[in-house]
Amino acid sequence: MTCGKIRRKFDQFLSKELPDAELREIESHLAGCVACRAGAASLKRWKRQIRTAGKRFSKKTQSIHQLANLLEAAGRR
Amino acid sequence: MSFRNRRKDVGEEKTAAAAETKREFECLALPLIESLFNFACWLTRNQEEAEDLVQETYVKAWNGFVTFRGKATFRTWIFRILRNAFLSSRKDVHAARVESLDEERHEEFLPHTSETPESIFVEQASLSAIREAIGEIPLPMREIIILREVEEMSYQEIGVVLGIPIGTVMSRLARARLTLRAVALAKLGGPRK
Repeated sequence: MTCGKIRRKFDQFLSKELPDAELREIESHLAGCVACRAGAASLKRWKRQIRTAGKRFSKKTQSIHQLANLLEAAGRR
Repeated sequence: MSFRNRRKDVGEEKTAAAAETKREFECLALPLIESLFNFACWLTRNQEEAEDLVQETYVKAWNGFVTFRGKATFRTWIFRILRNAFLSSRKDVHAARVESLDEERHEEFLPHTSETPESIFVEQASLSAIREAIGEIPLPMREIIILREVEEMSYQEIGVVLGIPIGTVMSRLARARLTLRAVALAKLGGPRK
């Protein structure tokens, strides 16, 4: 695979969503390609930052009880 | 056993089965409340509306639980219910989505760019800048970013929630990341690509 093709698969590579053969091929490519290795590391950091930023809104435990009551009512209908 | 006693037994069995179904539903559904609420907040950008959306989702999911066969995971199933409920409540959003999907059909996958001084700059961006940027990118990009990066769904799961093929998941996600980076950079006063 070329660097371009490898980079398009970085995301799935990081989450191990690729077949074993492709994972091994990418691992082997990264071992020998400094630019791609840096690219994969960069994406990994960027994803981590987005995850932290995206976990923004939190619901109170009280809402769980409210929901349970709501379901109770819905079940009785 | 008399007819009356037999009827009483059947009634008790039905009640026990209903209670078991409810317990099963709660075990699957209640742990997802934080995730669903977070997703709803990013979709609606309004906490009160998000609260209503989550409640509506739970009621719909409970009412449709008998039809849930585990073909999809419960998580993707209930996220899809929430998103559909949101789209139904916003006809203008639905119309905008159809246009954006039309554009996407002709688009090649965008490559992920490798590390540059600019990407390092974005990586050092404050969380608040990234949060603001997530809130500002178009809805189809925002929802896919949250499903992938926050909910850590697979491409296949995202495809189920959004009702799109995996190829579209890949191209939309790549485009969403680039847009997010550009908006975050602009907020930090950096170059906008």
